[in-house]
Amino acid sequence: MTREGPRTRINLIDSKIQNPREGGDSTAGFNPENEGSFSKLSAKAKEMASKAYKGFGKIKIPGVGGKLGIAYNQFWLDKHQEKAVGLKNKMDGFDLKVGTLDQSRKEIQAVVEDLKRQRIPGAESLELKLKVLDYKRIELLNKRDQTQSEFESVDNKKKLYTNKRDQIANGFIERYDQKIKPMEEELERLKTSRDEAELLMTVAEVKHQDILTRLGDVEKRKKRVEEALWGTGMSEKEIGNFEAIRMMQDMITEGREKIRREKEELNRKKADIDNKIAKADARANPYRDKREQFVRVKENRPLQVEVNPRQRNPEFRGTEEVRTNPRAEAGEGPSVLGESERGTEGTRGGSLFEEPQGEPDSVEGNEEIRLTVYAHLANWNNHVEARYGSGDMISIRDFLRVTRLSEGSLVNLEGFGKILEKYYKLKKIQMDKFREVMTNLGN
Amino acid sequence: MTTNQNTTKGESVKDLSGELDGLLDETKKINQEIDETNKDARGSMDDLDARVNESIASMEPIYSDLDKIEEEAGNELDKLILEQVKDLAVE
Repeated sequence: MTREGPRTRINLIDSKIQNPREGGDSTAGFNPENEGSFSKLSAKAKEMASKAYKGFGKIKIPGVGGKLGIAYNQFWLDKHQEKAVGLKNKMDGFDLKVGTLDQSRKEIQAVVEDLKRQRIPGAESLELKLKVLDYKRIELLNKRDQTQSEFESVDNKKKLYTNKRDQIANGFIERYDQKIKPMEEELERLKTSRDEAELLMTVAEVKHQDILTRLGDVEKRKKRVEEALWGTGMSEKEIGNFEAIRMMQDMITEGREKIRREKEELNRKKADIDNKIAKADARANPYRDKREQFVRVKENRPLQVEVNPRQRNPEFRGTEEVRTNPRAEAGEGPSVLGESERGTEGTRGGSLFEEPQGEPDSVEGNEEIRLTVYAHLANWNNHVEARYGSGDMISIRDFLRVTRLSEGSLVNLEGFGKILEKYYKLKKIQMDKFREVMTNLGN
Repeated sequence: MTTNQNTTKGESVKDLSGELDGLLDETKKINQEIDETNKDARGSMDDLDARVNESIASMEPIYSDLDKIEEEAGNELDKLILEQVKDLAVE
């Protein structure tokens, strides 16, 4: 058999088994090891399969999904259920007749007792009628029992079949879970890598911002010196001839350009990493979906046909227990990465550490709070310890390891806040908890 | 311009020139810091990228196993379908 796409194979089954005489027996659609079994089916069996596939033909699910659609099609259950319902109707008919007989017997019995009490002859002939009624009743009950046995056989078959298909589904759900679990764990690690990339980007961004501020400061001071030189009576040309001035201007321009290029490069790398992670997550989705398909097909439960218990055996309880079928818990499906997108941001609408917007190159404002990372961390931990206890303090060693910052790196409060937020996100700790500390630190 | 004025101007220019040299040193250090920062950032991102690649590669055998499960599932479902067809045809 040629390798064809799942959809094509299903269409082939659909068209061929609807016309079993055209082109001989259709075996397309079944796995090669099952083709032999299909070709040995009787004409009637093939006709039945045709009906089932015809119903399925409108559902566009390929591969295993398609076969699930066929195997779990209501068609099979309906066939058993139609028969079960027919037998149940027959039993109801017997019950009705027995009930009528019982009522008649009761009335005749009352007349017999009345006749006997009044010593009026004729009671015996009525008692004979009662016997006839009793025979008829027994006959009806026997027929009802036979029908009930037949019904139970069909009903049990339906339940057994349901159990069997559920058993297959459960087996595959279990197998999928075994493989999907490590896949989800790996995706979770990738999600952490994405958070780490964000943290690294923030660290670089804070460092770049700090450097740009300092370059701006140097440039301002250079301009002040140039103005002072001009004040001494030097011409602009003479001032421009100072090698230090020319070199400095070149370096400032070059420095800004290097930062711009590096930002672009880092953004490109970050986007590349995000893209790889998103692709990995997207690739996992069809497997998650297939597992869910197996879970969902079990939701189609057989019709429960309630029957009256046998009269001679009122204690009867059906021994057939339909096994319970675990369902995927609500919220199990969505992508891990999708979830992460929603909610671990510590703050809304920007950093809580944002300083008042002033002159971007203002040095005075920045120098006041530009501290070493170590000093910021020590300050943070002091506040956290005072408010929440030592358990919530940050491990300085871990912070420095993850951010790749040195304890002597100088950053301003706003920059430290941004890095801290990304650090908490990476560590999956809700930063909102520390809102009070953040407010105190910002004041 | 008097000699005194010339001397004062010369000293001012000398002071300012010294200040410029100091600023130049500072600018050089900043430029050096830019190079180090960029090198660190790029290195860290490259490390991370390598780890992401490794992690994605480690998922390949899992996908392969999942594909195998899918194939087996198709086979099992075939059997179930055939069994049902036979069973109902007899009834």
